[in-house]
Amino acid sequence: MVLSPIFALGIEIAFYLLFAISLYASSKRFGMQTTQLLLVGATIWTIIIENFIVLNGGYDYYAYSTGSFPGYMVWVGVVPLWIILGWFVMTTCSYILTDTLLPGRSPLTRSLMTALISLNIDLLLDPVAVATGLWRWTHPSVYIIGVPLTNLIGWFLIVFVFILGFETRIVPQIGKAGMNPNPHGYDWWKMLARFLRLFLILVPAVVIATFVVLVVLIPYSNLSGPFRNVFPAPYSWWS
Amino acid sequence: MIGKPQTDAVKWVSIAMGLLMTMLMVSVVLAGVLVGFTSLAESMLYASATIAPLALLLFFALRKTNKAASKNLPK
Repeated sequence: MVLSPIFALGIEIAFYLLFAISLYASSKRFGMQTTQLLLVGATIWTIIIENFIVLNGGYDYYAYSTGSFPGYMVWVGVVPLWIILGWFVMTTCSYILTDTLLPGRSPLTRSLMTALISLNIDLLLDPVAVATGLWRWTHPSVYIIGVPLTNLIGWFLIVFVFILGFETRIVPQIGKAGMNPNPHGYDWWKMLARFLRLFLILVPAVVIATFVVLVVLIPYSNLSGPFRNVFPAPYSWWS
Repeated sequence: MIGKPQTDAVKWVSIAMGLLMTMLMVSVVLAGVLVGFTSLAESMLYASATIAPLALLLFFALRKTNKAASKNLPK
């Protein structure tokens, strides 16, 4: 059900506020340098993955669009900015909670916990988004309370792999640089380059894994089409 | 732990999550019924059930940081 356009704009503005709060919380916890690293990393990570899946007909954000207005104020490609920053909000808040509750545990355990907390948030966020048209799922899949199973698996994977990469490749380097907290900081650009090099392997891995799940679930779809994709699946996965 | 054990950060996370969950609850009311449910009451029950684990984790995190902070108080 599409509500008033004011609702969509209100949610967009509210997410910018949530982003500001999360940024502040993260800077308090991890320091400004590491927060910036997480922010740039999470932003690039989600811009690539989200745009790729939208352009491949997985879902879209155009329920509130009118002839002249695309429904939200700021976009990064075909994805609203608040969605991109929303990932940072979810990931950072979950990561801070994990860092508080499970200090000194293995990266695997901490990544798992972070991904589970994020998934917990999504269990409410996604059904609400579907019910109010904030985004629309546009591919055949096994749907549970209006949300495809692909999303729940993809959501978990995106957060889990991102944090696992950060915990195994970046955190030890930050530790080596003696930053915890270190007034002199570390070589931020070098650390970012290291993080981005990691993405060259991890982003394709996550995208491929999500698409494999998506394609595997198509024969078991419990929702009949037609799926009105703004960006039709270019490889005719289901159209 | 890679971060500093500050109560502040967890407090701000609680504020962010509190705002988000309030916003989502209001959205459930505005939407009327979530897909797959038959009434608003059922939808609200589901929403509350999904919020509960997160609320518990926030509670434990806050308690832990508060304890750590009180230990560090000058005597």
